[in-house]
Amino acid sequence: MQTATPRQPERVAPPKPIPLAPFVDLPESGRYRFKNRLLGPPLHTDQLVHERLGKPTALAVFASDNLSSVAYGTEEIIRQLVPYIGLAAFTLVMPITIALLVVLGFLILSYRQTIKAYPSAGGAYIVTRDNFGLLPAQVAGVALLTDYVLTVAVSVAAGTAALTSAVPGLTSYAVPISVAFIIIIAFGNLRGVKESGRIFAVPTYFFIGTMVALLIIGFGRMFLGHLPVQSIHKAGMLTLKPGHHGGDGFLMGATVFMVLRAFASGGAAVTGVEAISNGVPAFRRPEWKNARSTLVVMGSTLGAMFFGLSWLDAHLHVNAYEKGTPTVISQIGKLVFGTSPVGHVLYFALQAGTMLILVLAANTSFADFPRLASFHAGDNFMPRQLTKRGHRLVFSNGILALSAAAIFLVIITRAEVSRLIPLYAIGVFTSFTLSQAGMARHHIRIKEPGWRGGLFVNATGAVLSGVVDIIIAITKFKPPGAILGAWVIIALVPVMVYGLTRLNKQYESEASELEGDAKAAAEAPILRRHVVLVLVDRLDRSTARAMQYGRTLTPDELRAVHVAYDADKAEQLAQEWRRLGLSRFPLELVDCPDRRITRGVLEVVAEALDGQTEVTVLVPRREYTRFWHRLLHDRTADSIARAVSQLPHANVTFVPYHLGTNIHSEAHV
Amino acid sequence: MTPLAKLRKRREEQEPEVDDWTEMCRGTMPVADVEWRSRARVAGRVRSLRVQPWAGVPTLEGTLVDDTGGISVVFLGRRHVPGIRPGTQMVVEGMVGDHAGRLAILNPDYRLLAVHE
Repeated sequence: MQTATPRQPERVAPPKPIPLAPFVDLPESGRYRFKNRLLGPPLHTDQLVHERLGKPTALAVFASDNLSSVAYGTEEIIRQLVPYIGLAAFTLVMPITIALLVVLGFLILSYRQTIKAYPSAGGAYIVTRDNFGLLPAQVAGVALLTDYVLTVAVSVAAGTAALTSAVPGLTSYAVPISVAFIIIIAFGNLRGVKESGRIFAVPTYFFIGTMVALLIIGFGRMFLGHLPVQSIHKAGMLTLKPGHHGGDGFLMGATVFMVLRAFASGGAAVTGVEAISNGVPAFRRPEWKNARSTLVVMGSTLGAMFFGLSWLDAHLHVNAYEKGTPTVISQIGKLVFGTSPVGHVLYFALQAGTMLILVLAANTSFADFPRLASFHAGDNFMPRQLTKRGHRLVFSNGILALSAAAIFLVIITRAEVSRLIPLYAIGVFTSFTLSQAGMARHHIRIKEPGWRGGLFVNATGAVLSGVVDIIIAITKFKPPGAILGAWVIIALVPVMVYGLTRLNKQYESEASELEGDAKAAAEAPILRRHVVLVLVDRLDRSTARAMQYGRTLTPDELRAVHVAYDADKAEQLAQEWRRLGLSRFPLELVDCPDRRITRGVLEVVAEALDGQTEVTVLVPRREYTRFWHRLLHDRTADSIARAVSQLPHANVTFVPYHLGTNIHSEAHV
Repeated sequence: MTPLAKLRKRREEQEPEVDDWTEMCRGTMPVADVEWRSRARVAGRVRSLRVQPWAGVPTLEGTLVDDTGGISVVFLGRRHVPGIRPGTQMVVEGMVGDHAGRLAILNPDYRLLAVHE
């Protein structure tokens, strides 16, 4: 080039702008294409918006878990009482319900404190972590995670029961229906059902509407004296204990236990209170005020519905069926709405509403479980994969884990709510206790204005939920005639917490090893020599490419290595190598009498390593365009790479050769 | 004769190879005892063999190992020695020099153990 001339030499072609994205003409992986088709195109990270919810929509979004509990709360109380104390059960339903409502009231008061103190994210995990440290937080978190799984299983099972009560023909398909529900919900969540109000608002308010209709008509007819009393026993119902038909309310020691167990079973009805405190940031400004009032409205609605339903049940003497269908709520609906056409419509509306809200309740867990799991994982207490947002910006791995666990539970309990209930609620109350105690500690630490009142509320809440937790643990430890009981959770939580702590230790030690002295490691003198070994199986194009690549590395020593697992083949290769001698570097044949190729390579590499040498092993690897092509060959290359990488200063590079494409056909001469 | 005894007998009949090898090994020394710049006779197995392409200096270089160590065996001016392959058992004899910083016997006398196919 002549630099003397001031003018630029004329170019043949004018310069072009840089293309937006480099053009890669390769087919996407089958998995990705499948995902794309199933879930829709991937969402951009910027699309992660947090929708702000007004109070009515927020109620719909967060309340479904809580409100849906009325669908089985009363039934589970009845179920525990009737077989032991007979008709007296119906006089005890109301006191037990009221006791539960007192617990609910205190929980709501306590959570009002939590919402104010932790407006960003006030889940039990965060509160416990902030006030008691990481280990108690794991207990709270694990307890809550198990309960989210149970929420899905219980809600879906109960939703299926609502369906099969209305359509008895489906009763024998309860398990497949439940599993299908879980799969549908999981699918929706993987696609990224935003917590958009409308989807939630319709079923929630529909359910509240039908419940209100049930209660108004029920009480109306009750006070007018039109309401028939259920005949006590029908086939399939729980049998009444004989001798107590008078219902004199005489209780003995053993019976106190039964009452406590009924109380514990009913405890399932107050679960879901924590949902709002988990999602305060989703509210419109001022978040914590709106969240608080929504919480109170939710609690009152639940309380009113639960109270009304229990009252109606106490009056109507509606007994539970052994198999769980038709449900108590469905029987009450039938009795209250009567047999007129309008009554029928109302009855089906009630069943539909119940089913929908139960399915939605399951959906709430699908939002909460992955998020809580991602908190755990973020603190290095769960596999890292759980922190990654997937294709559609949701925590896909968490969703899959939750679905798998819930499906497993539904199948082993045959979708019967009463088999699941003994496992339920203990986790929630454990996390209630820990988070309320955490709040009490928070008040003592911070001493914000009016902290004494807050301390009183939270301390009471903690004690109360602690007592309920103990009652649940004792009375439901192993219900008679059932294998599953609270013991499963009591055993599972410590095991899981231990497992997570182990995991954490592993992550921490990895991190400290990797991060320790990164600067010094980066500036340390490099090794003097570089030996490149090309693994050769036969003299073909993929090998040739690997050798060409090896030459571009310009190492101190370059040689081909063949592990002679078959002497004749090795001889043939050697002859060919001598004849062609393409690349001017030697071929080393290594004896391998036991045909363990991996071991042979390992020995060759170890021989080349002398503390002053970096060894690079080039492994020609065929890349297949179709997955079944891969099945035609073994994975020797991968296992070699895995073995060699274990040696210090030994490095493995795959040199791909794409079969079925012409990418490498224009090899450099 | 029981089948097991038959099998045992057949195995004994096949034993002579080992005897051949013991015969060949008579008078050899372990590789560990080999001294630089002295004659040595060692027996072992060819662990690896280096094949040079046409462009290089014609050399066939192998590593012979026994239980005590390894020694380079170099055939200068040859690209190929019939019968010497990875895994071949052989006895070599010659003056011990060095090659690429390792003990080596250049152009040794050698005897191969016959392999019965």
